[in-house]
Amino acid sequence: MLNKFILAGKFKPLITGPRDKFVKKADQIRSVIFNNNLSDVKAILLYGSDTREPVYYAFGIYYSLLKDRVLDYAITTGQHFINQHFLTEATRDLDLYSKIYSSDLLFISLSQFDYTSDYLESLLIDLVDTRSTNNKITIIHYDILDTKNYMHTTKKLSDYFLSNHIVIDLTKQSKPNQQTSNTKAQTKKASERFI
Amino acid sequence: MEYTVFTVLTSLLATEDNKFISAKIEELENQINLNEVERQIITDIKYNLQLGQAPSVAYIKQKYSYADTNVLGVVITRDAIDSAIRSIIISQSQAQLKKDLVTLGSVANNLTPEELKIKINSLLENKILTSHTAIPKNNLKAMPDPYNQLQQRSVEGLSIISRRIEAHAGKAAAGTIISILGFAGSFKSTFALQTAYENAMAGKNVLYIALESTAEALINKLVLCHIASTSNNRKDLINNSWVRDRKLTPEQQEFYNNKYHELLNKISNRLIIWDEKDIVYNTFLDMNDTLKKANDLFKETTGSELDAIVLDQLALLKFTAAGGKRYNSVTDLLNDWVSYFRKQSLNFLDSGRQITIFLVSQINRESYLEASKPKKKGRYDITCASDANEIERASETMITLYKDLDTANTLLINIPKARSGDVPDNPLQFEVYGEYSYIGSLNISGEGITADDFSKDIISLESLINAG
Repeated sequence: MLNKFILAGKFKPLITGPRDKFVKKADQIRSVIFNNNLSDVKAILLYGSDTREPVYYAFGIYYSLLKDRVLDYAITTGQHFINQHFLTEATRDLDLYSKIYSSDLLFISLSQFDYTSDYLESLLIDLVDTRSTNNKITIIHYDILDTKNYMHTTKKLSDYFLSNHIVIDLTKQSKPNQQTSNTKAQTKKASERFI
Repeated sequence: MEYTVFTVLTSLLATEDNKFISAKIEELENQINLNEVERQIITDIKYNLQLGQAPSVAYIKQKYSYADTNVLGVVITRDAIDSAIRSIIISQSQAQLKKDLVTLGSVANNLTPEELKIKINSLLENKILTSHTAIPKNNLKAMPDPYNQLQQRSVEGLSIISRRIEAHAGKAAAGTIISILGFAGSFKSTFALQTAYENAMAGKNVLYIALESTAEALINKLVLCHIASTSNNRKDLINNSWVRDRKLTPEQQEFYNNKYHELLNKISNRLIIWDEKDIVYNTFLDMNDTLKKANDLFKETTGSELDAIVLDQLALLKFTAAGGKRYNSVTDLLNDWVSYFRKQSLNFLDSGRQITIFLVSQINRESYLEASKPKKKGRYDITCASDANEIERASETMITLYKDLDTANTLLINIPKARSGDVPDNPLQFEVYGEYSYIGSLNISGEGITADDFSKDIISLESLINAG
């Protein structure tokens, strides 16, 4: 059992914008989480077209409660991560870089128009692999700006997630509280890893 | 018969066993006060041993004939050499004790009582007085129900605040030292006081030696801790700063007083809090005296003897004389204190009874910096103690405390050493409320949340978002 106030305080920095809209969006994500059994999942690739903070908030609360521990989290963007990767130790933001590898939860934001590098995909796959091995959860949120071709642009990454983890397209989610799947992620076939 | 070092040396050479000769010579050098000639003979023997062959008995007798008092030509057999060395040690210790007593007698008039105590204490280090001649009983003996006897010991162990800690470390058994380690501001005293409180409430007699704080301040914290552990309404909790700033309303003052009396009634003399003005602890003898007084007080007020001591904290013994030796460093002195408390835990005041010792100690800066890195957050290792390396060896369990700076009211508790248990994969996460002098979840309804509450929407996301 966790303390409500400590848990709420931990994820409070993620609350942005009008409170009612934030609550509505976070509740939608909560439904997605409970309509799909994600308890054994260590990494998720999300496609979304809305603000990402409510998504991170709902996942942060969910995984903290699941693990009965107020989890540490870090937030970064794909661009920032690749920029940091090419810096030397002297110029790198060591604190954030270390948190990217070691925080219990990592949220990575990708944007369709910034997403231009195959190398970034390889780096992200390597990062997710390393973190999964260390039992740490990684959530990548891909921000769809153009509704066409977004799956094609991220083929390598989505193929990796479909084979090893799970992909959720938030733009195609059913209404809240409709149970869609109870299958454990580890036993899912590739086709079932796309929700 | 009184043996001499010369006789032992020549008898050793007579064995013609180079390895044996080397080992025994080292023993002689370490344990016996040698005179110049004896040292010279040993140097000679060692030099020859280095060349591959010990000198003959005849060579040594001829070269050092002036030192040979063994006119009868006695040769000690190989089996009796150890006894001969022991007999020389005893004889030398007796001579030294006589000399020290005469010296002390001659200067006693000029010494202060404090200096006198230190001198007497150092006399007790003499080997004659420390050697035990009684043959101890064999502990491996027939028992009607050995399993239950073993279980009895663990059942009788003391609590370490939470079952989550005990799931890894086990209970704090009699005859052990439990170290509570943390960097400054990591709630060491809160943890130690709560441990004392919970065990006293459970009927154990606990002596809390407060060297870092005053008894008055600790008693206030104890009342706040009692309020926090018994209240189920947040409005009842009393913040330490309100007491400090005299901001309690008349109702709160009354509530505080009622809780103080309730605490006193429930604890019923099972917790003694003494601070440095109450006790004398300069030497081991002083500490013995203090512990004896506490034990007598418990016997008088509760009818049973002392079960545990909480020492808060070890580093503050650095200005004492401890065993009265000449210590080369503060670490040596504190190591001696840890050994002293280890002996007390195993054989309390030479009564043959075992007790539990909770030792509060500091963590070194390097370990703190290492444990502050995101990768190792709160994960101290066994070498983290700054005061005395003896802590690592003597402790049955080492409990480290790390205040999580990224999450409010959170303490990370690691157990880098658990002789009777296991080390957790990750530091355990605990709630901590410094303002209420309390570690652990408050017993307030509606504040706890589980995964089940979240999945069944018993606690909505909206209420969480608004709680933040």
